[in-house]
Amino acid sequence: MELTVFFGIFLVTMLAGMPIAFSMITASAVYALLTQLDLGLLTLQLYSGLDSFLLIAIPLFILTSEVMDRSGVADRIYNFAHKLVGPLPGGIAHVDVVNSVIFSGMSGSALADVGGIGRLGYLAMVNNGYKPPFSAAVVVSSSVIGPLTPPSIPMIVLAMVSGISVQRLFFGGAVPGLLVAAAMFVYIHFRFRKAHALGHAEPWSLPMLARAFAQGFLPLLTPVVLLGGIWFGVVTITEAAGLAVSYALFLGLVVYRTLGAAQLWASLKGVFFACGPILILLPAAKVFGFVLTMEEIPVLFTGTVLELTDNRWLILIAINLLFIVVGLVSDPTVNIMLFVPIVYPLAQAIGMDPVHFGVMVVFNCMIGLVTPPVGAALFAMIGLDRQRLSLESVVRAMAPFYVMFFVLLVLVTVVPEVATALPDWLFGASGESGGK
Amino acid sequence: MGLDRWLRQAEVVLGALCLAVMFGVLLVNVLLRYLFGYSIFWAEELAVSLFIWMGFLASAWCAGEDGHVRLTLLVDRLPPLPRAVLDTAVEVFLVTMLAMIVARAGEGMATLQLTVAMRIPEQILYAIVPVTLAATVLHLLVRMIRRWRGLPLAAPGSAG
Repeated sequence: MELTVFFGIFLVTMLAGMPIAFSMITASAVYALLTQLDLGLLTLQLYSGLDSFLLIAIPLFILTSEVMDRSGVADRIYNFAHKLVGPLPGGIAHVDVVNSVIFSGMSGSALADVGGIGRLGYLAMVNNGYKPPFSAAVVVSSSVIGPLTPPSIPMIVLAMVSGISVQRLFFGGAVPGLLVAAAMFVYIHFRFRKAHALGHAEPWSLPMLARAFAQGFLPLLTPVVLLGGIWFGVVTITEAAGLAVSYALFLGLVVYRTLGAAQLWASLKGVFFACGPILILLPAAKVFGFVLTMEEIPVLFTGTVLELTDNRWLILIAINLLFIVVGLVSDPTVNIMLFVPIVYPLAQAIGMDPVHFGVMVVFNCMIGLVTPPVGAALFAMIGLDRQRLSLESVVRAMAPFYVMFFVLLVLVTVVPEVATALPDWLFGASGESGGK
Repeated sequence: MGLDRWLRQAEVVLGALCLAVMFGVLLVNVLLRYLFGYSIFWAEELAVSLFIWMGFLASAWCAGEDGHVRLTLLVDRLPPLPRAVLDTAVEVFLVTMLAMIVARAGEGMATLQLTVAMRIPEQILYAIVPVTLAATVLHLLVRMIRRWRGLPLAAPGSAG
């Protein structure tokens, strides 16, 4: 009875347009009232939802991209990518993909990719004669590389709720992220191989590329510093994030001298604004998850599914379907916080590798981020140029990329090594080492 | 209304300061550890506390800006009047529940003690939850008033 009311309030308020975080909090509060639980404890639960040293890495990674955006570093990286792949057929589209790959090594959010480097890439493509919907589709599709490859905000959240090693998850997403880039490269290449006009027309020479590389060398080093520090175990994820911020500040304040007090303050405020919708989801999902655990939903769920079938493939398909469906209508952080605690025991019961499970879930969530009806990355992109972009036109242009995502998801699901091989090689095969 | 605008500015300034100090403390601590093998034992606790403060402040600010993740797929299809009625109903329910949580927060916090490292009362840190939820209530009430007066929902001069 209480559980019915709990789910009822959650669903009704959510569908009526209440912010999802508050739907979870109010449903949990009503549950507490009905079951004579102390409502005062809710405050403590909410607070504990953010009480984690690991989570500090989230604002720090966002701060890194804010500082980089404001110090002209993004332009240097863009320029390098432009010289590197710009002359190829379909070159300006390739530039956006290469940019996303480079930035994915510093930022862990698809929305940061679309709003930062994606905006640059979109304008360059449109100015070079690409159709706006196609340009938008490239930017949106390449934005999923950011949260797949390390560092990654969804992976941090997933590590926190599941206890899976965040280092392993980070590197587990690297190969799938690069596969997305490679698949996009192949598609763009074949689509434009006869349209040389869509590369840039400027003369190209090796010295020019070398100069662009030299100018971008220090910023290009950021992912190396960051991932190297994590790999060698010199720093924890949080410290690595702090290191990345320091390095970005060093470039902006000391090397290029493009950052002033005003830009610094704007960067801090930018992080604050970006954190508003993200961070509250964690305490909200904490109280919501507390009720689910009280009612032993995860245990019941695993038991029920295993009674129906213990076929590994059916269960893998079911997990994918679940995350695809909830990904279509909800936010990645919410889905990870709510469904990972329920589904992870099931994944363990069928002997799935934790990193394989985590990477598969994040991949699903990222597909949700770029698909209607509520894909945040998709809408962020359309919001950048409402005059020339509509949901229908961008989604139509995304069709080949959706097919690509689907094929890659099947690959990640069927071949666990795509996710697990790199972390196993870096940290050893045992699931224990490298765990924090 | 003036209080609401002032409060939103205060949230942004305080939140950004929390972030700056949090980063500063972490940086100093890591530098001390690698250079001199010395750690500030309360650095981690302070950094996490500031992070939590920033998170809740950002949420309150975000509520004032209508920036939280929500599903508008269904409600967007409603004509203006039923939509305004539904929005208001949702907000009244939300405000009521949040006010109840704030009112009962003291009971839960009565059990708290001193923090492990900084040795300050945990109530000071946890107070951010009821304080920002109360601020959220205020922001929502102002939104409701503005909606029924036909004013734009995002107040001019807000930090967004």
